[in-house]
Amino acid sequence: MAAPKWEPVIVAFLCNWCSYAGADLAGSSRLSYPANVRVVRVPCSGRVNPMFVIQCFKRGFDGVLIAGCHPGDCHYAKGNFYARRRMPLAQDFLEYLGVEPGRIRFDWVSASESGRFAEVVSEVTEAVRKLGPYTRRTWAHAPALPTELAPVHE
Amino acid sequence: MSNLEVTIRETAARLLREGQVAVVLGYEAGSVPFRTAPAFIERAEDAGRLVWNRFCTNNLAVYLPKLKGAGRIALLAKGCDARSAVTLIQEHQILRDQVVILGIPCDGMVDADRLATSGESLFGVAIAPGADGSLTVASGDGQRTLSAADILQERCRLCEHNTPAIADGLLGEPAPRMPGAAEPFAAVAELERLSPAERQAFWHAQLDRCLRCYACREACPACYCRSCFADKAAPRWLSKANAADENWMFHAVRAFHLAGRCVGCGECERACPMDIPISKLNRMLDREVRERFGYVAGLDPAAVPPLGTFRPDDRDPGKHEG
Repeated sequence: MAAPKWEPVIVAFLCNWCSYAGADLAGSSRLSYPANVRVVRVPCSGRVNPMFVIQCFKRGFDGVLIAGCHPGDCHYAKGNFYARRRMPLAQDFLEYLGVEPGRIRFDWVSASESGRFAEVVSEVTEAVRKLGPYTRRTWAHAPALPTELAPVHE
Repeated sequence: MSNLEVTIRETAARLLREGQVAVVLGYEAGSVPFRTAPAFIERAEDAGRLVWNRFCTNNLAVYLPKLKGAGRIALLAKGCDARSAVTLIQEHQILRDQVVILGIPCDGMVDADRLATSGESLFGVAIAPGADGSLTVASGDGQRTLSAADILQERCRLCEHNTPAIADGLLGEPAPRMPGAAEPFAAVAELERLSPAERQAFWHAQLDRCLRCYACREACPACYCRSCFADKAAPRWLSKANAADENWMFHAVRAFHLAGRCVGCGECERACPMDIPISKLNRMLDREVRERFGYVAGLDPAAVPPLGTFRPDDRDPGKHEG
């Protein structure tokens, strides 16, 4: 039997009020989108701590999607404004640490934008598929230690 | 004894004698010539213990939150320490009227490791700082004079605010600008020229060495949380295991928690026993915060750190070049 084809696994943090409802509508509208996302419902995009994203990569997921209400539409009035400052910064910081930029997507999806939800999920899945699996760092990847210790002094 | 040292001692003794402060935070001689130790001076007659030389490297602002309730504190502050104090005032870790910032114009601190590799054994030597910024190193083989500027710590060569920007009085004349201040982010830009895969390899190689001793966290004035994510059991963000991916996450989150708050004092990197270039992480975020939000940490006690606020017209992710 051939080895199963690799499929990217993407964690999607969706805000309860807009993007999760958008995903729900996509489902009840019978829209099809890649089954690569694992949805985590959060109260607000402002609830998404950049630590969650870092944790996802530590655990070996291949990509992360964070979606919330459009600016001005936040159920809590300003949660997504905070997210809009911190998530792009986290994206660039993780890129600096060597996580390719396409692995993280931060975007707005409203409760009525079921088509847009399907579109965003397809785009992020394709982007991550192109990048290939994210290789998490374990000691198995670390260079082997020298078996003999070199003398420090002559 | 330098003039500045005399001024420091006199000022400390006066503040304590007049009862203006309960404690003066400064430096005293360490157990070896190239080290100083933090000093907590509570009596005017002890002010003579205070020293000032090229090895007063600790950022004493780290003690401010810990001394809450000890009364009014006088803090001997280099440029970086003063900025740290400002950050702590902004974040309500200390009240502005509970700290007296005694600003010391700083010419940079000497890197003891670089001193050791410049041909000097640091044991059994006497180091005498000269007034002109030279260091006279006397050992069994005779005497040698070195220029302190040649063996400065990197963070000091790149320092943009060596004369404290905020102080309740400056002890001494403003210091000349440091030579590297014009280009503090050169090392970050150099790393950014690599491909993501190369950068990943670079950081893995660096962070693999981490022992997770948390010395970087302990030395940092901005890392004052009583309960750190790294120590939490529920939720458990981080395993206690010293595993490669856990180390990576610790450093990623530690640096991000300091975004828009780090003043670049470099204590994390100095405290690191494994020589991990930690400040390259913080510097990247410092530059990004400046470019995105036009904000420089630790200069204005009344400002709100940029990730604790927002503007309705902030750049939208759709327009983000990503």
